[in-house]
Amino acid sequence: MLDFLARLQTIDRRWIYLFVAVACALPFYVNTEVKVYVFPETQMFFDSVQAVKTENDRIAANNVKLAAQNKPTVREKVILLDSPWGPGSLAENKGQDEAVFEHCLRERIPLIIMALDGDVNAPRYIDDIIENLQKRCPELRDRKYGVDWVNLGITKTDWMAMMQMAKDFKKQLKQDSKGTSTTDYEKLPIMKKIDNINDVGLLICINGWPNENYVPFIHQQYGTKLAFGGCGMSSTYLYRFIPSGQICGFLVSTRAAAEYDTLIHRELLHDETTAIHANYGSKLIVPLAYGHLVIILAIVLGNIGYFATQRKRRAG
Amino acid sequence: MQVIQPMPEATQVLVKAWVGAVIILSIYSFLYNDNKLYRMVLNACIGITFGYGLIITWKQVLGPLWWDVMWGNMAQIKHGGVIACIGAYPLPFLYWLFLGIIGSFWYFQSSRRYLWLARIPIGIMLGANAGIIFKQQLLQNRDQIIDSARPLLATGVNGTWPSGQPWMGSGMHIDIWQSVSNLIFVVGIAAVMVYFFFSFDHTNPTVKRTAGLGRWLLMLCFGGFFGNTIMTRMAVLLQNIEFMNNEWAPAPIAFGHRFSVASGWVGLGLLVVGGLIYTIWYLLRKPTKPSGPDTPQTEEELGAAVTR
Repeated sequence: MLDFLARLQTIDRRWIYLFVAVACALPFYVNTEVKVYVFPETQMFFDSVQAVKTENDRIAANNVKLAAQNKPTVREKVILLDSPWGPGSLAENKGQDEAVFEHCLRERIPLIIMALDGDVNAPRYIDDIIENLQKRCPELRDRKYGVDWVNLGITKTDWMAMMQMAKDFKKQLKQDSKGTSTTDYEKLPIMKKIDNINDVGLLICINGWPNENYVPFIHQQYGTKLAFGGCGMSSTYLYRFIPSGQICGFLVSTRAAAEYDTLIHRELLHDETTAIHANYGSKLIVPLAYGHLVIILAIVLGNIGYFATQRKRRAG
Repeated sequence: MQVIQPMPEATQVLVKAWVGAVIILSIYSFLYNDNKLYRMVLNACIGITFGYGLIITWKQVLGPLWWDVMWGNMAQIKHGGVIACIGAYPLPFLYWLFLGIIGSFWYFQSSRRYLWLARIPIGIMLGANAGIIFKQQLLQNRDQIIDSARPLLATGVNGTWPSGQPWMGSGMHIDIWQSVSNLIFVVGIAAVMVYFFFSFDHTNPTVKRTAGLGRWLLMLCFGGFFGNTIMTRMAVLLQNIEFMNNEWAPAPIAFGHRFSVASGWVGLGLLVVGGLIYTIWYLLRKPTKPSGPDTPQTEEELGAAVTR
């Protein structure tokens, strides 16, 4: 018996790969559902986006009064989304982006997207996600590029770009990803709503490892609210910004995308039945759970093998 | 002139799906063993990304932020072209040209003879980053250091109105769970800091045990890192399985049922034949000697290497 248990430690790694692959693939063919529980940091993220909508509603109501008094009106706030991820973190960031886009487009919150120091594929992914989202949700098809959202493509130089954007946004981002000037307000009327960081209601960075420099150079310096979306690997390191209040929300990996999708359906659509498999994150959450189960099982078996080997050695 | 007609949409989807599937399977073949197909696809992907990146960087970064700015006054010159533009606005042109030349010195990193030129932009960047790092570290960590000083007996109000305001005279009570949370937090910070305090030997039993606790807490943290890393890697695998299931498998359906079934058989056949060819090649190949300048080739050399 000890011999058999000791052999558990020497299982060829390729068998484990195969088991993981089968466990992950199975839920795509066998319809299985898991209950998605929303973590506090995801709820905080959702609430922060919703707070911009509430603020814009308040500004709009106030503008009616100001207009009646022939006084200058106030601009509504935009959400600035830095989405520089590439194929390496697509599995985790795509669902997060999709959920944030859906929330902003549903609530008509102006959304300005860019990719600071981004992967070369980042602008294309952004366009693809919104195109697919509009295919999936017919009610969002009347949202227009340049009016409800804009994709400003890639820009470079990290903190220097942040400082420039904070002071004069259009000096750093002179054109969108298709080459249209950001001062061409006929084609991109959304760009009238932003001149500098004061016009940003919430700054979001969604990347494999979100850019921490937004904390000192934007949040600490200008007080702009900041939220992150990252891959699982980065989360252990970046959680420290939550208790200190430096970020107001954090989407962690694929599971947070599924949680955000659940929140959109529960709080915006008041419908819990369609929450499963709508968003990219929701599609992957069940196979992810199965894959994790196999890994946990492999760890348990490996440990049994380890203790059996120790006992065998002691027994001589 | 003959114009190239674009492929029909269904064909595009099919080609895209098959190219994607071949790349995914080739890359994952590394899990079984290192092989030439894996390396070929890997190098092709690196090359394509680099080429695409060059164009995107020019169009979205260098173009609008440098080239267009350098020639920004060109539109105001009615006659004479480039020379007239430089003549009329020499200083802005020279300023941006100078920056471009300095920036291009980065590329001399690949030249042994002119490597010293690359040190100029590197030095500029190092200086700027060294200066900004003070601000970055101070602002990033300040709030976290303040947050680390937490009360060990946390209090909360007994009751609140729906607006969040406390009831009048509701008083404060000890929040047990928050207190426990704060205690773990503060003890954790202290223990880990003691572990990293190397100015004296950890011989004192109190210091030794506190440092031991710090080491355990660090291990827990690394466990968290490892678990989250597994989640990330698993998600990458799922992304590829999802692609194969949702894009590659249904791609032939647009061409009709017969084509779909036929392509499934062709795909399966290709996989089987490819696997057979690889297995035969693997069994018939000559065992290769490890190569390299320091690799022992003869038994004498091997003996000498072992003795060394």
